[in-house]
Amino acid sequence: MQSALVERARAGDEEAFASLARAAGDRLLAIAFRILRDLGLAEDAVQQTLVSAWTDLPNLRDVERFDAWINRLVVHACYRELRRGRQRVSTVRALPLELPDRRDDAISVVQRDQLDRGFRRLPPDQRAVFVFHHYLGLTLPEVAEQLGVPLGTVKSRLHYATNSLRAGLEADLRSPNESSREQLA
Amino acid sequence: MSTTYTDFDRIAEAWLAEGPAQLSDRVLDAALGEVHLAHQRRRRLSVPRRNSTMNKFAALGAAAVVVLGVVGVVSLTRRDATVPGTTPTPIATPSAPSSASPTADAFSLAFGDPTTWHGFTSERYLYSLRFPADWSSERATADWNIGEHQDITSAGVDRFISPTGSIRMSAWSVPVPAGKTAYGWIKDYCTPPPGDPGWCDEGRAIFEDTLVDGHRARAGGTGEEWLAFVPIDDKVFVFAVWQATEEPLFRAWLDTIHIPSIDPDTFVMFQSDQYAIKVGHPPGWAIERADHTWSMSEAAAGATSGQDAFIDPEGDVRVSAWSVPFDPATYIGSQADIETWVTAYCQAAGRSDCDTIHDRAVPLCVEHADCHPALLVPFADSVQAFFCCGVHPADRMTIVAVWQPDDDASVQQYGGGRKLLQSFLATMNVWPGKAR
Repeated sequence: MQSALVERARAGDEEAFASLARAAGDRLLAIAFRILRDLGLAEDAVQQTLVSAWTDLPNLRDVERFDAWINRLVVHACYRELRRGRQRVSTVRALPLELPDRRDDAISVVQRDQLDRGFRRLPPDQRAVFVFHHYLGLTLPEVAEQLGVPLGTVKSRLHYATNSLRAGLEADLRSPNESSREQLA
Repeated sequence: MSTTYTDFDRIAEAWLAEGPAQLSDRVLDAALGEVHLAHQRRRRLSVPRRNSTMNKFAALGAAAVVVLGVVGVVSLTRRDATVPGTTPTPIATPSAPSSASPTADAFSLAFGDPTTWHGFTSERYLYSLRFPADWSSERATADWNIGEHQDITSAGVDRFISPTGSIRMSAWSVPVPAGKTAYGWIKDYCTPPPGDPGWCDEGRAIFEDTLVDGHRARAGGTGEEWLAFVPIDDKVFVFAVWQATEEPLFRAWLDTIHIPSIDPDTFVMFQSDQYAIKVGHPPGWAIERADHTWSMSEAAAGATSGQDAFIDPEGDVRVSAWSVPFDPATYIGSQADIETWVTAYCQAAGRSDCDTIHDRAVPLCVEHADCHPALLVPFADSVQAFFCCGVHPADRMTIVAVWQPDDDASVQQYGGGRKLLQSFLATMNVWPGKAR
């Protein structure tokens, strides 16, 4: 079904592309938000991704690889957003009224804060690997394939990302906050 | 004690699971709107063919080309119709016609050297441009509305008309409605009313990304006219040449356009001696450092020497930054708390419009992600922003003020007082938005 839509979109059918975009949109936003940690930037990244996907779709050789291909596009859109960073200061863009999310009570506020701060310090490529592995649940070879980088690079990036984030949580453990200590015990 | 890998996995995955689950229709619609105007890369770009719905001006222009071509008369010193032998090229490689080429010679013959064109500044729509020296112009006398989108004589646009009236150009800007993106607006603009044949939709338009006065734009030909859409902040500027065959004119015209804006990336950072404030200001602006600590008793005076101040090169615009400690009982945790403080400040200043602050205040965020509360408030004589916390001291209110009303002529070159203030705030990690 999806392959047929991709074929039609590749041939210039906007309706087919709209169907693909609707089907992929939530996943792309989820990936972009996890990498960027900012809903506004994530939405921008998804918008860029969908437009890039449309314009570049004729160059996709294997229609079966559409999901992996567009996942990679959104990662690159995130990289661009992070590179641009706050250079977009002149843009007057209203932030969303609220951030829809669900909070997991298994994580303490302190842990959430530590992870958030630690994650923002990670380079973009480490963030992407971490999200693909821990959020999308892909194996490391699958992450390598989707991101188009060697397996060794994926392992290395995940290693550094994990160590960095764990260090933040360890530091939290050394604080007198007993509740967060209990969370990790 | 140390975390085990399993603990870390569990915590990290639970943390990653938090977040938005659904892409908003607003974003999807904007993307599909942009897709609608974009072309897939494998397509060869070319000027769209004119079709049977060609308007009368275009038909007259085409007829003129045929007649001139047959008779071989090319000795006119000025003309309004298509330049014989001119082959329109795609907007994908926009550039002013080169003076060395035959096309440029014909262009100069028809329209003159763009550097000698008449200057035109639109106070209504805040842009300036040039148009051919022997043309006439008519200023917009009303705000443009989308119901007039196919009326090339609309009073809602600035109009530029060739001597014989056979070529028209229009320019205007329009605020993007709330909840819509600039590209969503462009899509609406291009969508015809039911029963109309449509014009920049259904594959007839070829738009390309280009730059107009350094701003990202979408520009191209529809087969009947040439259009450029320039989204800047919450506005879209539109520039149209209502003649399918006048791409060289369109290109040269775009090169004359100036849309004022201000770029905080170019600002010079300033560290206050008096206050814990670091703020950027435009290069070339004069600085007056605060010579004493500001107190609430000065509120009625407006701009005082107790504020660090930045003055534009013409000496017309003054922007001040300062801070004032909170009373011990003051707690700022929300925009409502800021509003309460601003109301007291307003009353201390003896202003008469303190009761309507809530209606006028615009929410801001200190730091995008954390979004500590902040407010931008337009007053009769100024536009001011109030914030604390996050990267700014939590025990005092920081204030940045543009001492001109938002629509004052002196700040129009910066896009208005509010826009100027926001550019200063951007250097302080204060952004448009609403606290979550």
